[in-house]
Amino acid sequence: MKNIKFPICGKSGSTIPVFGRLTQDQITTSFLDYFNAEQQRMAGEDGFAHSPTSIYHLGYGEEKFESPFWRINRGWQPIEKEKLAFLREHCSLSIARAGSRWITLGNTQHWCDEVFPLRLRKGKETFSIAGHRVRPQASLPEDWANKHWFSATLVSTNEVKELLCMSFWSPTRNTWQPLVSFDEMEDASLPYLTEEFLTKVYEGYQRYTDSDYFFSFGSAQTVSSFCLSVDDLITCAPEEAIILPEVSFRDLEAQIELSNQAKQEAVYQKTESRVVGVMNTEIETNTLHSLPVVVKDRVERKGHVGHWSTRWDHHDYSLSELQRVANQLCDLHGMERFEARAPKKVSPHVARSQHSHGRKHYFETSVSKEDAIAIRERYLRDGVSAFTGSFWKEYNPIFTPESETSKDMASVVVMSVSSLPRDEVIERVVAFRPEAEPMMRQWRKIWDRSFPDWLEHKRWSLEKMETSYEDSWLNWGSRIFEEKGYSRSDVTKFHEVDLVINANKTDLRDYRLHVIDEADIVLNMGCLTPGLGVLDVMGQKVLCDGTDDDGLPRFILAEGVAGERINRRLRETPRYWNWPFFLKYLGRKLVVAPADAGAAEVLLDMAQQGHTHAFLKRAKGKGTWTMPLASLNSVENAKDRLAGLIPDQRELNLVIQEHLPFTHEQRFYINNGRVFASACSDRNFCVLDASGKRLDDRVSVLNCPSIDQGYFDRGVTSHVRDRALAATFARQARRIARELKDHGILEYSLDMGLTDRGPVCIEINTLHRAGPYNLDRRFYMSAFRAKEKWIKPHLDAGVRAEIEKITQDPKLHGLAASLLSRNFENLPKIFIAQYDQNSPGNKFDPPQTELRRSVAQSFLLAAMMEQPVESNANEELAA
Amino acid sequence: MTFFTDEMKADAQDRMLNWRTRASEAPIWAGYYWPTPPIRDEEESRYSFGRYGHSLQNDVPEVISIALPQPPRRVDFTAAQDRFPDRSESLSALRQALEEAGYIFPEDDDSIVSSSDTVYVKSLHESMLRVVSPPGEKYLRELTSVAYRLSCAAQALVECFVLAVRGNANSYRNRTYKLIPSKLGFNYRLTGLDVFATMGQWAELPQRSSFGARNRDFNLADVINIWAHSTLVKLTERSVVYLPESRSLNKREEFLSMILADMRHQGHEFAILETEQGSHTISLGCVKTLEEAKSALFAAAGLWRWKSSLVIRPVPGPRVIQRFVFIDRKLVGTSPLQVGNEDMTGRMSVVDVQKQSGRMKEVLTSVDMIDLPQEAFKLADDVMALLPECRREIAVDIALSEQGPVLCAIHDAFDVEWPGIDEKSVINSLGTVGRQPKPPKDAILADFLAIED
Repeated sequence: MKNIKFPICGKSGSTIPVFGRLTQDQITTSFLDYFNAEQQRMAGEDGFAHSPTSIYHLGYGEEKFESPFWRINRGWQPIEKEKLAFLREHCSLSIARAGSRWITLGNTQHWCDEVFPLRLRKGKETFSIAGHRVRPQASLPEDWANKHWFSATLVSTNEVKELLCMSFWSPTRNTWQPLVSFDEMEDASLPYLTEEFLTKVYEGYQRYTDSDYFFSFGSAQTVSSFCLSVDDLITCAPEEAIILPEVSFRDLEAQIELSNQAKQEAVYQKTESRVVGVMNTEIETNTLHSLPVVVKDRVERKGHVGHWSTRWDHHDYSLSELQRVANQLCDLHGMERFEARAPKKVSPHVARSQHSHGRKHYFETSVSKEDAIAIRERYLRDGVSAFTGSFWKEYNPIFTPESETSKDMASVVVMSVSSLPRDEVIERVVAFRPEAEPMMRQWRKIWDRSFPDWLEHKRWSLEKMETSYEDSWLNWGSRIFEEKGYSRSDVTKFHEVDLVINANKTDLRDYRLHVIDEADIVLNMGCLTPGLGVLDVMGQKVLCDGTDDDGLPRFILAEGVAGERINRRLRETPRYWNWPFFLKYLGRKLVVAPADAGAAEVLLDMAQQGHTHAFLKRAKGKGTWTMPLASLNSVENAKDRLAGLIPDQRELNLVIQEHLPFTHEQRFYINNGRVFASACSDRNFCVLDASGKRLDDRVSVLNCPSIDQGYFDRGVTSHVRDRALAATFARQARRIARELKDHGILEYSLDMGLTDRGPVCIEINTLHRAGPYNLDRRFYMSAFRAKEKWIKPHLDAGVRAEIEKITQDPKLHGLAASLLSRNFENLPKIFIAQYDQNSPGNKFDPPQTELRRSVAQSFLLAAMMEQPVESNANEELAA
Repeated sequence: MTFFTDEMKADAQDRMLNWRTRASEAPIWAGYYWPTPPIRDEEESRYSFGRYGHSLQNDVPEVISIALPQPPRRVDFTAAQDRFPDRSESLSALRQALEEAGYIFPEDDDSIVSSSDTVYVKSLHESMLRVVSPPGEKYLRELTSVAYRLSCAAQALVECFVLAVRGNANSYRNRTYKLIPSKLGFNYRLTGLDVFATMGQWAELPQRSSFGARNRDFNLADVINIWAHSTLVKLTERSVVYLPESRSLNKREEFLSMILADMRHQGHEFAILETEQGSHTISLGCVKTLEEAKSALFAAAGLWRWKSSLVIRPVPGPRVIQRFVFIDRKLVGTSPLQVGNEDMTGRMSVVDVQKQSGRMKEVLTSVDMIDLPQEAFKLADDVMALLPECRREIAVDIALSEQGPVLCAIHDAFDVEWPGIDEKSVINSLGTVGRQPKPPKDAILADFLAIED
């Protein structure tokens, strides 16, 4: 038997036996050996519990059609069946959970935290497939790595069989990738294989519905599969959202600890917290209205409770015990009217709307019959001219205010960093701007202190280095010919080669300026309250934990942080065109339309109204184009011209604007509804060119303000000192900030430009991703410090209001209020902790429950536990 | 097979590294995709005779359909009468017959606002734009020609004509009418046939399938794809690239842009892309990269029109084109194409593609008649012989080039004009070719009885 790394099983780096080319007996023995060892290990480590319906299945794909399990699946030969029974008997202990983690044989923290199923229609039935967003950490052995592998996680109980998630091994990327939909797969040959695989899984699914186990079917190769009980699956997601006992906030826990000391003798605290947790889970998941009902329902639905009890301390709890304690608690606290929340989605796959967040555009909407008749009559009366003004007209968007949750979280600084202080990076930057040297050295020092072995970190590998535009094009070009496992079509390669040869490779902004920007971010994070600054460093979230004695910030890897909280802020785009009160500051008319439905009509209408050019902007993401409108004479004509200009139009919303070129530009930074700094948007500037003042009097000058046709980028810039213009820009920016503040828009960056029509707003970007140019980051950080001060009373009031909504009990009110007062200073952090708890992992969907409500419930429950318990009840509970 | 030889690969790598100096060079693969791109499957060059099923190819259809590509509006009739005053009588006869047959003029058709509960803004405007757009010269000519032919048929008491009004945007049902000549002379009646409802039955009946099948793909013109035919294609100029719809390249647009870029490298300024729906001129003037070639393709043919089977060809020089008209598989004469309003007697048509205000346009001029070479007649006969029995009325366009006559296109005779031939006498003769209705099957009998009343 050889010991090599197995792709999925085994914690990262561990070696476990692989059963290649062995006899049946050897297989059985090695399996058992492994499981016994694993079982012992886990029992020793975490305490080990199992769910009776769970089966663990390990399969692999090296031996096509020779895998014993494959044959078990296909043939059900007696001997195999026997073996299967044997395996089942001995292997059923191999799944357990510790804490919030699954202990299977994989890197399960990643597996189960990241699971999110989506529905796939297969024939007439639907069943779900899930992908895990984070890849298993292990990699394949070298000689396996150029083949296709699939992994499926399957769930089975007496009633339900579910395919939980699938992933595939990408030989080109050398990673495991979650398979969420076939579209994700770039290789043309893979979808077929996957489909075939899926069909087989599905066939098996249909065929063995009467058995209480289910094994994976591989078309060619199946790496591994896990069978989890369905109860575990369903409760997995909501239990992550347990409120109080899991809030890992030190101070709050200390409070609870303190309050529990008095009753520690009488009440078994762990039991109580466990029950509270279960209650909360139920309240999260069901529209039930009182705790007794919750408990009753729980009891009726589930025959056992072992699967969830492992969450806290891995002991089995009898149902009656749970019921009794829960009833006690309910009686004690009169929690009859504990308001239920909206049910939390276990499968939070929301079909992404094609256009504009589900809101229909004017062009897709219907009109009333009367209006339709009127339009028809207008056409019959006026002919083609009736079209004019139907599409290019006053744009009346509907304003949706920002959610309370994002406002509550707004004191956190989230920024992205895409370079690291490597020696060669520092050398290049110092050669470019010698005055940046102290800064770069300090950055290196911070990184060395915070992450002593950061060079070993997987995400921070060497190839991800900031390089010039030309180098990155050529790097890409050199990879076109490296083929691992599959090949792109030759024609595609031709296109890629052609792109590399002909691409414009001039750096619009020197890449070393980006590095300086990022060093500046890292250096200034120390100005923030510890815990309120997060960096996304090449996909690795890093938290600013405070400062060292010399004032330099200190960072830690942010493991428990909700990825969604970070990613959403980094990815969001302010949809300023949907703010009706703001449109007047743009100085130009605009209309938003999907590129494939409505944009052509708008462009034709513009042409008919005498516009010579239209300026198009991608609503989400980067991209602006100028389109000439001369000789546009039909909708078809406009569609074709648009297709020639923007070939990739899938699901693309376009902001179609009048063409209004600007020649000078400045950027303003607004936080808390106040302009706190401005920068000269000259692309050649970085922090080393900061003026030292809040508002810069230099404005950038565009060398090429407009083009006739094609993709437009403002290109290379220079700058000029113009106090009068800078002051005009600043006045207008302040005016805009004041008006937007009235509508609750507090945090953004604003580009002002000088046009023929005077100063106008060019666009609005997020504060987190806006390029800093020569912005002094200290202003930025101090704006966030100020915000933190401002936000605390705001949060406090919000939580108080929620508490009042939840319960009428004056006693609880008093206790919760006092707890709240004691935690006033820490409220922003409590909100963050709660958010991370509600929305763990990388889920893309924001938490369904209102954040404030969750926090209010936490406080209430904490207060509940602080409350002295009646002595007889204590005795009962103790018994 | 690979399109990417080792030599090309090495060159590509070198070009990437030395992009500063070599970016403007023509790539090593220039000439590889045009004029003969590597075709993967020989079997893809299947041949087709329009939409006639193979089993039906030898059945003589009993009806001849005359089609209008889009529903005529009142304004079209008025404009056509103004434009062609000498055909005014037949136009008003057609208009009257349509009105009597219950035809709804597009301007009267309020189904878009009345039939469904929701009226979408965009589709309402789109459909109303079609209703009110000014009449086009080409359509007026077609309408006049159809009206004249129906009048001729009515006068000659020929009963085998069916009028199909296609392209009805608001309904998937084609309006098809059977011509019922009146014994009283010029006027005639049209009786609506519900082709859509009975299509399934007709499909089973060979003698009815000619227009049943014809209407099956009601959006498409019934053309014979000469480029897909293994023998017919040899009679053409052959300076084209034909891409069947089924071509299984995973990215068709990439392949197309390779061809276009290659054409550009070989000095072509324009390419013509012919599809079943129409032809598009692609301007290659500013094409330097493959991305630009793709953009040029999309700008000319949109995001999907290049997805059907298509032909790419360079812009041909001026050519004399003569139309050979076969009725009941017999040559009845040759005719030039109609050039503007010219009297084409004793003239021949010359087709040229010229640049006009930045776009390429087909320009027709006329020259004095010359004697047609015997090879041209032979070619026309060869073409006719290659077509199945069911194709009875055919117009074959033949270009006279220096290399000899070449096949240009094949049309249904009654879909195109043939001004050099006396239409009236041709249609008169149809009454004598003995194409009498066969006894219809039961399912159709009732319809026919109603029609014949």
